[in-house]
Amino acid sequence: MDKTDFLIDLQKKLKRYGVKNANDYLDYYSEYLDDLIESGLTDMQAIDRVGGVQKVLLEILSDEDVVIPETSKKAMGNLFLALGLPLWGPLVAALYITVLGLIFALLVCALAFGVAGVWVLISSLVVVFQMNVLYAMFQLGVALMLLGLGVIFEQLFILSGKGLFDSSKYLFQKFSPREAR
Amino acid sequence: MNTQLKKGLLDICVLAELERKESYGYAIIQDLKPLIEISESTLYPILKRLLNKQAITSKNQIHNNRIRKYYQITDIGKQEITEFISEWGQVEKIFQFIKGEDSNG
Repeated sequence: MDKTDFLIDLQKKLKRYGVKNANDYLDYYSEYLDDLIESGLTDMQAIDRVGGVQKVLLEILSDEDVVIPETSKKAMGNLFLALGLPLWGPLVAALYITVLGLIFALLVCALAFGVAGVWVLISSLVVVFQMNVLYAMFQLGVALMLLGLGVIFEQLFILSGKGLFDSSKYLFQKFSPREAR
Repeated sequence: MNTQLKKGLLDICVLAELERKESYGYAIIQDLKPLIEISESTLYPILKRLLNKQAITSKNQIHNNRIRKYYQITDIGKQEITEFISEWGQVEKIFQFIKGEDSNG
């Protein structure tokens, strides 16, 4: 790791912790590393001298002047969320189950109309031989209508399923703990 | 040295160093190291604190094609040193008390 890698790594970590005045610290450590390197140390030795990214990060986060404005608000928000879980948890669960039920209903409708459409379509071929063309044409029309409804419900099922998946993914990412790296 | 005691002394040491000459982070640490244990991560909050209370000022200067921040003491900083020295008599009394040497007796 050279000086640039060290500063990039430190910058990423400071950003992850929401440090607003990260540039002040980066400027300071950049200058200090330059001075160490100028005194004859290699990049690696200079980084070892300051203690590495983790140690520097800990020092910065424990500095009383560090500006992390969102942390306390987030912590407070998380606390309220946790305390309110018995209240909002069942409501969200009920809503989620209702939406899942509606999506399942769309799937059932799509399958029902699709199967019915195919069935009527096949039977219209039988009708054309056993009865007359007029009945067969009527049955063919009904079959096409059923198949059309099947396609519409299938599309609605795909759209709503995707919507639910995307919104669940978004919520999971928003409320899950930050990734370690 | 005791951490709390050292914390109080470090600010004054940095101010005293800057009273002698304007200086920058690395040089301050090198100059103070023989006297008191100080690291780069310890120095930064001290400099920030002193800047915030206007005991020191800073200016950027070009050095070897890069920017280096130099710190200078202000009148407020000099006043702090004076106050610290004037309080030394009291500190000495406390020191003697701790050692068990009663100054009155």
